Amino acid sequence: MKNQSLSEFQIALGNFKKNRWALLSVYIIFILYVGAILADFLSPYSYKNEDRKFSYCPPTKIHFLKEGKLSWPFIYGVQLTFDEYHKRVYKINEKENYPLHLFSRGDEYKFLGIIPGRLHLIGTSQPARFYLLGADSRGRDLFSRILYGARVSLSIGLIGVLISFAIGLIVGGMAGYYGGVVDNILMRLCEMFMMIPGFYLLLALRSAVSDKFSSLQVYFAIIIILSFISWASLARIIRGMCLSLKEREYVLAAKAIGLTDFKIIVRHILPHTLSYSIFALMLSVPGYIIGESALSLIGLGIQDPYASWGNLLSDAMSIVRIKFAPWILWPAFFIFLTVVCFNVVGDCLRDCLDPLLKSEKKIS
Amino acid sequence: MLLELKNVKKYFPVRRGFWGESHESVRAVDGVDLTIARGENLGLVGESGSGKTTLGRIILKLLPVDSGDILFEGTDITHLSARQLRRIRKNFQMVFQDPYSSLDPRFTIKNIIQEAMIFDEKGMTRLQQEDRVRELLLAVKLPEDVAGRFPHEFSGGERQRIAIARALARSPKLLILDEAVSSLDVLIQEQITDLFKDLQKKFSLTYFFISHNLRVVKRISAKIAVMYQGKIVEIASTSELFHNPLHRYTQALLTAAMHYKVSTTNQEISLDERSRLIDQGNGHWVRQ
Amino acid sequence: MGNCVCPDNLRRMAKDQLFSMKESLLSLRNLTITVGDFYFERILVDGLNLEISPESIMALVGGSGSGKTTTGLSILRLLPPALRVVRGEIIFNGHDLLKYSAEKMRGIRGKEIGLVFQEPLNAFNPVFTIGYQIAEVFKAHTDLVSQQIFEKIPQLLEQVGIQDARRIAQSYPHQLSGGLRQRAMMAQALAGGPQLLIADEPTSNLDVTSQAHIIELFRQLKEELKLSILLITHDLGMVAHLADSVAVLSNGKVVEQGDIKEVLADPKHSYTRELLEAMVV
Repeated sequence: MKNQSLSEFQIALGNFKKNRWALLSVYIIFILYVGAILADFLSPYSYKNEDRKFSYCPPTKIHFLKEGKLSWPFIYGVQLTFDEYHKRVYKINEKENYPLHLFSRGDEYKFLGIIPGRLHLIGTSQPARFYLLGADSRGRDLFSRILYGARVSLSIGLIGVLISFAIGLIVGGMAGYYGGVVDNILMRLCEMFMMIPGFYLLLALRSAVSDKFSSLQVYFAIIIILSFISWASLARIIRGMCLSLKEREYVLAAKAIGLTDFKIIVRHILPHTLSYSIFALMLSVPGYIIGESALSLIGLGIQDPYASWGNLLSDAMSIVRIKFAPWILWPAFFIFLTVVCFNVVGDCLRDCLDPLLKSEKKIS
Repeated sequence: MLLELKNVKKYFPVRRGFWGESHESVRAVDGVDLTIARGENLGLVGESGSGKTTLGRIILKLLPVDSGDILFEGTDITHLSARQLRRIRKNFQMVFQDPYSSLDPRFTIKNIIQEAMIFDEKGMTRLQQEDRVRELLLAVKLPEDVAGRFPHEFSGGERQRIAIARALARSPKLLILDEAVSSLDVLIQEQITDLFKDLQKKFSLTYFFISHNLRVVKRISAKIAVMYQGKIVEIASTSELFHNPLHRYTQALLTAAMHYKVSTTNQEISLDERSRLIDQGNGHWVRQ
Repeated sequence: MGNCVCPDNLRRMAKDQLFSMKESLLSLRNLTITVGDFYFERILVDGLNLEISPESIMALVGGSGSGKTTTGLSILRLLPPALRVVRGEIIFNGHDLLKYSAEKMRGIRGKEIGLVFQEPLNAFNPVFTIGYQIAEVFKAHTDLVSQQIFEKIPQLLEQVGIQDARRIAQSYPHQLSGGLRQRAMMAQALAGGPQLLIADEPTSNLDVTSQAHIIELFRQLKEELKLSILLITHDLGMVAHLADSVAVLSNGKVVEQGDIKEVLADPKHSYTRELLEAMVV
């Protein structure tokens, strides 16, 4: 017999854990976020480290067999040559081999902006370059840039969503609880926001923001703009839920106790919208990631030399480049992976939390 | 005199014009006079649509009156500011009908009861609060370990006890029971009504019992008022009402409740606008 | 001590069973239903034996958690997936319903056995009119054409005591009062012409006067339509005025069973006595 008292929420989480795909997605998301946080350490090079001699160098093959025998992984040196069509070809020079170093010293960085360090997980000695996923036009390691890009793309998703979530809950909660004039005004406000096509609003707001912003300011500006355009749909749904929730008897009981309206909304009504809000939240993170990617892709978001998945993909806008250097599409895979994982988690959360949206009665 | 209602009216607009003016209204409470004396439980019986639930909410100040006065211990509480309301609310509390939805499922039992004490919290340390919770749970005959559990782990009868404990948290003088036992089965109903009698003695409570179930109302009330279409049609002491019902509606109600028979008058009993409650002597009033 | 069945009762039960086995409409034999969980399994109904004769009203009485609703639903095999019938037989007109295929059960539900729920608001679909939903029953179980169904519906509604039948048939469930809705639900249950009606707490949500009307209606239907009714309730008072025989359930077991007059006059089990005392007004 279970002795532990579980809240309904905990019971739902228990159910969640039984879905393998959802669990897998959670792990993947977790790995991606950890990768983003530890980008300094995990990446072989800094995002700025360029070497024009290795422009569009294909991904480096790691070899484990030296003359037929198992050995420490190593890579060969490469030489840039041009063939008869003036196409870049990297000839592998088997005479030079460079072993891979674990925990090697590499480019300097400041972990979390404070702690300086030089330690990288993998590296190799000069002059060879280790490109796990290939190099971009300036010879910068794509893998490293993807890791740094993850910081921007993933955090914008999270922070932006939390901001619009907060706004949506407050507006929706008030509109639903008070009804009448308050409801009217707030809902018309929502509709105004929803009416403008999202992407155009995004562009307009971005161009209204000064050109002379530093990258950090651009970053925050993007977050604010993105949350600005997406809180409205959440607010409407929360408002609908609050309209029916406020009729529940425990709300009446809370009123009878004499609690202030604010307390009632925050303690008794909004928590019951949480089950919906959480999976709505999960399902909108992809939208933010893609929104940021879209902005950066067309050059209005994060600028060079800083990396974001969207701006990495701007390199891939030419079919010629994709044909000859297909690895520049890797950022797209990561965007895809993240979006799919958030969607799977969101779907599974909704399935698990759905019964909580309805009241329960027991059969006797 | 604990509670007095004087000519209380509450109408609900049914159809609104374009600009919000009402064309028709449902007369939920249509000129009700009631008094509840301290220690003298009053039962209010009526069918759905009679307005009795609305009356309960009005007394609890959850709904504003359209006209009329409400006096509590002599003081007029009809129109009060939110702050004044909060101060007087400790005097009357309600136990609701549905034990499945009157407790917030996300709160533990302890939190539910503590929340009711929220205004007295300032004077109480955490330990004192916990003691009070324990005291209340004991008073409603629930074991102590329920405090950490959640509402969905309990049966209907147990949840109703928790709701009662919550209502008692601030030591109210008047407890309004709005169909408090109607969704429980008969044996549990008996247990809870016995509990009510017990608690009345222990905490010197007075009950205002609203129900359509005459059998239960009879057990607890000293006086019974019968409500029909927003008006009181008969008030008498419990035994007097059961032995000598004078109004046709009361008679129909009693026949149905005790003998499960449809009373012979099948046509709708209509109330005259000019009818008034007339004293028949012995505290027995009938609308004529 | 509380749960043992005394020899007198056993004899009475055996006598009843022997007598009615020849002409039983529905008989439940050793019915055992459990609810399974990952952690533990609980028995809801424990070896239940019940006989319902044709043209009689049998009341199944018990408190909440006694297993009476579970028993009622299991007859039509409408139990939620977590509940399982692990043993026993449900013999209706000589056939074991537990062995029926899904297709055959559909022929039983609504046609041979009707079900009336406790809360008619939940039982009716709010977006369709009453008439439409009753017509669905006719379409599913009979070969009548639309015109014939259109004629039959008001007749059916009048039979359950609804005046102004045409207007009611065109109304939506939320437009009717509780009592009317309950009658409409009974009309829907009777549309297929069943031999047995299972009524699960049919009057719990109704006012006293509506309750009295519905009880009168049950009596009428039993006589006019030669119907058998399985009345599931916790209200022994209603049972006293309506039923022919009664079975008292406690914790999934039948603690007392028999003719209504005998049981009321001389209740042998303490639980029955408790229930009777609770019914005194």
